[in-house]
Amino acid sequence: MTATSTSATGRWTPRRIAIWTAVALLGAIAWGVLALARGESVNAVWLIVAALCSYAIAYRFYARFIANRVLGVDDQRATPAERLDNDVDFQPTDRRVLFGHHFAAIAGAGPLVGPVLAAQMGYLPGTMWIIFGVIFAGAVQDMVILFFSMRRDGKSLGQMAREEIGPLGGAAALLAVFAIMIILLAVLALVVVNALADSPWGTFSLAMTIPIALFMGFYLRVLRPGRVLETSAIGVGLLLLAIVLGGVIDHSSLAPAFTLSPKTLVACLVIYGFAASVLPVWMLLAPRDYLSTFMKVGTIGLLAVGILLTLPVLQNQAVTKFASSGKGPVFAGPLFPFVFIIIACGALSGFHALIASGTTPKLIEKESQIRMIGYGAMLTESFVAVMAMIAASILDQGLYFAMNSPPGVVGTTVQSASQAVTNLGFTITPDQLQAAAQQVEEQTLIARTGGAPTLAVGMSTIFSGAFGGDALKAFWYHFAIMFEALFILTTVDAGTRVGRFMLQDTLGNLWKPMSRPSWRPGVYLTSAIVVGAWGYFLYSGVSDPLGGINQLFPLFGIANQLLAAVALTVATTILIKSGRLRWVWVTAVPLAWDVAVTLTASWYKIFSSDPLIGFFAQRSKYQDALDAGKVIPPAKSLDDVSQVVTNSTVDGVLSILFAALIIVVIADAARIWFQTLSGRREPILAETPAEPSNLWAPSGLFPTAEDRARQAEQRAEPAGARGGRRGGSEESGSDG
Amino acid sequence: MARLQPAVARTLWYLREVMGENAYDHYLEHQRRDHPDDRVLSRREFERRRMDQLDDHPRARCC
Repeated sequence: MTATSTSATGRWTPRRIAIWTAVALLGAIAWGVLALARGESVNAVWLIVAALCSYAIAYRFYARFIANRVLGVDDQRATPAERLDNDVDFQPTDRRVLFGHHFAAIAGAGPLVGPVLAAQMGYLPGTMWIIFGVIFAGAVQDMVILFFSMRRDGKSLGQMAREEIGPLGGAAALLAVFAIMIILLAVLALVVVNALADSPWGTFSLAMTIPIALFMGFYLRVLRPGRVLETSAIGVGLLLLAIVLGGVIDHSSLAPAFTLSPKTLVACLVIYGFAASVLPVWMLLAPRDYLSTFMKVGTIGLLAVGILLTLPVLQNQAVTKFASSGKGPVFAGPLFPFVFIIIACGALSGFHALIASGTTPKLIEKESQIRMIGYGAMLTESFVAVMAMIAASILDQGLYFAMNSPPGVVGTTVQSASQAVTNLGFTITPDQLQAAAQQVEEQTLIARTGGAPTLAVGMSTIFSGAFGGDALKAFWYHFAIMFEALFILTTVDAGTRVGRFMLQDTLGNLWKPMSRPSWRPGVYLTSAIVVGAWGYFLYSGVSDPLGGINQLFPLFGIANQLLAAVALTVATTILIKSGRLRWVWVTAVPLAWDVAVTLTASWYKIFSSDPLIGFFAQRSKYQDALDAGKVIPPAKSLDDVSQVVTNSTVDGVLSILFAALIIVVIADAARIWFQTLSGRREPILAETPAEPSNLWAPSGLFPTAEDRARQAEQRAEPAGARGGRRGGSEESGSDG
Repeated sequence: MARLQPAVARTLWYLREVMGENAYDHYLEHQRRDHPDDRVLSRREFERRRMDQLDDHPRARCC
């Protein structure tokens, strides 16, 4: 209970006061350096220091305050994992292991891509949003939803919305979840397509992950059941071999076979997504997930070490002129709200609410561990986003804009790109552009939008600075591309399957057989609908003359922040209904901010008269051209023009749908708030009644002195006197 | 080196837990504790059941 967690461990010794004062001072100095530097070069280490000190203070004070005072975590109360332990989906899991699972589930390519795009406005606005956004919004959302779901035996966000708000809010929430899933998959797949198009090295390496995964699946199923580590080690080895072989293929006569156009890649991805959705999990999905988890943790760790070893200097400005003009080539629109839309994952990501309500809450040992798992894992993801911002900001600005502007702006040759970059106010010569591409052994780096190639160049600069020198630059570039593509495909195949089950469930309400997983026609039909939906947006993004990423990425951000609004609304409703009005600002303030951001962005996307920003303004501009039979650049033909008309209509309608969903959910919840607060409705909470807990475990990452004494006591007890705990065998280890 | 050994052991333990390699051991423990009279699945059967269970309960991966 709160008393035990603050008594012995919370005493303010002089040493502890000195440590926290030092952390606060160091953080303040780092922020000061970042904020005051104008024109002089800033070392990336200041970004790291500012981030880590801010996280430490937020975790120690704010997260603790929310857990103890606002939510009232109670370690005397049994968690669903303890009460319902069935060794399948409910089982008490060591907090550090669960942290790993949860982090692997929430973090992927999102926190790597958004910051790279947002770097067009300078490193400062994006970094501030990543750090303050996570502290006050993103990590709060994750922890609070984790807690409320845990108190409801692991109910999903949609179920909680239905039970706590009402059927209308619940239905809107479900629709929001499905919509964001489709847009998310399309945008992430588009990042892969842009990274692999016309790159035989990257395409070959990624294609090889499929036979590697099939082999791993077979090995685990038939040869060595359950030997996951050994299988993953073999898989990672084969993967590195595939990257090296890719370099050989690149120079061989086989290269043309792996030089695929964006449209061919779309077809491949759609077929792959369909296969992953209908095949048994053991063949493709599970082994890929093992590979991806390994690569994820390994590469993120490597990036952190690389940055600390090389201490790179930022080339990006703190704030560029595009922050105020809103006319940047990477994405159009002013700093508010678009930086907060473009960077979703890493600061505030509604998608996490789906993971925090579902798998994770069923595995928690003790209530107080939500701080480490919910808040802590999100802080870690935020740190990944800060590193991505660094990787994008150490690049020469001319190169950054040559890579991230759509082909309509920079053209396709080094000359046209150099000219376009000069027009934007930066410099890079054609020779430098050529040399940069040659260094990483790519045909071209011009208009390689989507963030992945930029991040890969940044990472290869950092890695080759730390390990291996220039000779390994091309290897590190393709290593980074491969690892991002691997993440993304893992999200795409798992997401397609999850989407398929959601659709099967919904259609099952209309016609029973549809929801049966064993009825193959239903499986094929729903899988085809899901891949068809994201495949449509992917194809339209690839063939959009205006550049798919700058059209679709804002839509993805809006959808993700919309889901965050749903999650924060559910949390706010529960706080109000449970009589915690004085603490309601903890979720209500981030909710208000998120709604302001999302609705302002939707307003721009729907009503802006600037065809670069507003979908309908864009539509009428190109429709007029079509009517007059005129081709306006960057369109090259009348077909292109009509493509823009179709895309902007669909995107505009989607923007309206998203904005309407937010308004419906909040209006429905506001009705409940009003009724509860005015006393007209007796608040009914769907919380599971408390049962006493017989299980004990430390709540923080490192056991405290008190925890250790308790552990020693426990070991002295006869075996079997207490509930079993998954993975507890190493608890006796002396961490810290 | 003597100090390194527990660190290596702990890292290995952590990797096994996170990747699910210890799942069978936990299952055996669970059976012994809660269902001592039931037949125990072999590792092959257990891993098969565990994997096939995921077929119909896919876990979302975020971005």
